[in-house]
Amino acid sequence: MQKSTIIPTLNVSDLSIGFMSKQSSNILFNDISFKLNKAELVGIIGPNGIGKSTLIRTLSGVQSHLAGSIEIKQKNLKQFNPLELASELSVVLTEALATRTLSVFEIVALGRQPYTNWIGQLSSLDLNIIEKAMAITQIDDLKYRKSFELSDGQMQRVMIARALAQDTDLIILDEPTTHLDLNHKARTLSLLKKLCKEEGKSILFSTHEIELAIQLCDKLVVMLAEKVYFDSPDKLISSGVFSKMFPSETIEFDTQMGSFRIKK
Amino acid sequence: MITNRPTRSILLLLMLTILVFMVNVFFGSVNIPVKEVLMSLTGQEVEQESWNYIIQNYRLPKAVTAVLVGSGLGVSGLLMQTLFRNPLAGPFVLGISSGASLGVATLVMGSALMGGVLGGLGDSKWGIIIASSLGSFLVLLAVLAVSIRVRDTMAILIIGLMFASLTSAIVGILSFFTSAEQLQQYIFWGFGSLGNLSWNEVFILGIVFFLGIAFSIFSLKALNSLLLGEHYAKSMGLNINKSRILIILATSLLAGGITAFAGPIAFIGLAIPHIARQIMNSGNHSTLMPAVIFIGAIVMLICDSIAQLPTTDYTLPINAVTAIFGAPVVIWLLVRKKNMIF
Repeated sequence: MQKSTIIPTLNVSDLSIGFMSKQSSNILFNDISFKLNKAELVGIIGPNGIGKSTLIRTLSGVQSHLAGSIEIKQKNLKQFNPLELASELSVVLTEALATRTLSVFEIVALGRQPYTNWIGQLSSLDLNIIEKAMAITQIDDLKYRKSFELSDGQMQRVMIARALAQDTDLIILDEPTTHLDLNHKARTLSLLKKLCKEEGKSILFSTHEIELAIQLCDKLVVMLAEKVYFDSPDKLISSGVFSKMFPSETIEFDTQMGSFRIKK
Repeated sequence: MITNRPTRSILLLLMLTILVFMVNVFFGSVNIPVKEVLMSLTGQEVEQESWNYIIQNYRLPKAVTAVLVGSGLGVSGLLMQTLFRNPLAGPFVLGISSGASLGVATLVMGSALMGGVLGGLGDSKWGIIIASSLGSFLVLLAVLAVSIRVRDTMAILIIGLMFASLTSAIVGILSFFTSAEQLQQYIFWGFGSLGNLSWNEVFILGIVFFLGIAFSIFSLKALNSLLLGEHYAKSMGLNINKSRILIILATSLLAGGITAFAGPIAFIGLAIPHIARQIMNSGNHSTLMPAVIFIGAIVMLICDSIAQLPTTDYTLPINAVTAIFGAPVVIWLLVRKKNMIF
């Protein structure tokens, strides 16, 4: 098989995450290992407070890791300078924007910053990429709207378009479905699926929408208290990982339907 | 084309600046006929030599100073509001004006306590300028030294405010022990003044101004990405620390230089960026910065014209005029739009 020759876009091995200070290091999680290949959609799921956000922040370079290694296309994350990293990895975060006056076009255009000159001038190539990013995410008609006029769902698509404009093979999103209704949750995740299949992006995202993630993702990183599982959704279901996720007296997992039930 | 709209507004602002500049030069405490002002400006013979002197050596340098002060304070306010993501930030949040106050207070009021060496300097203009620059520089240095130890931008803001309280307390102690005459001299400095500068001094202020503006233009790209927050900015390849230093340097040059030559002029730096955002309806610094430069100049020139109280012998303190006439304008803009744009 040719499998051994595939270079993973993101390769995480034996990673320890947590917070480090001068006095002590507070390790949240040990031995996290998973791979993200080209055109794969991978979700990170797990109960609240398990460390999903910390993992996302560590992978996107906001926070440093305590042990193990993170490699993007076989190059260690620590060896990237900010500008190099910006052309390999783009992020969509949960934090609210500081400004409300930028137009949709201006926000998406900021994604071109790693490639523009010292004053941020957009070339015709940049403009093409921006237009394409807005077309894929279906926000063309919002082009001149100010960000404060957008709904949460629209805003999420704008931030995804900005990440697309950054033109990176790897995109990491922190809980892209929070604050959205079911329709917009599904739309956002379908969009991510489409970006993987049609644009060849590798996308990693954290979410609480376990049932949607099971249906759409190629692989899942399941963070449970005792260890991290990494496999395709159907294998995870048959090995009974989801049943361990929540206390069995409140919620049970239906392996036939791939969904959770509240115990009455 | 939508992209043309900001360009047109900026051209309009430029023309308005020229117009207001003219009005500022044409009218003042001494009533000089419009025709004679024109003659003086174009270098022709003027009916009275004193009129020529007033225009060439008083009104013109004062108008140029007003342009530099308004633009410079506006731009430094814009930089600070974006860096700290705080609409309440102004050019002086890093302790620049409180440092200047401390320097001048030490010179003016401390000279009596210490006597001798400092005594003579208290009356000279350059003494004040140097004391003000030195004070700003030292307090800024202290703020920066402390803020290098903290990574958080918001902590820098609070540290700046703490240093401002600290210095104003020291100024308070100095004023308590000083004579009424010297206290008055210090208070007069605090009113701010545009009309005290000779062409030489305007020239030096101009150099500092253009340096500060150049640094600001080099920060444009960084400022725009900072609008998305520091994490996003970093993810787009921005070197946060380098940009922060460049932005702080630009602000220090602009606000520090202006305070040294024209005194602590309040309000302008805080208000101009807000007026610019409302007028341009944009948060993009590439359109905001030229707008801030021109609106700053326009507002300062108008305030100066009002302060001169044309045809009377009185001159109001510029620091009072900027707030009395400026604050209602900002309030009106905010109320009219019903939405604070930041």
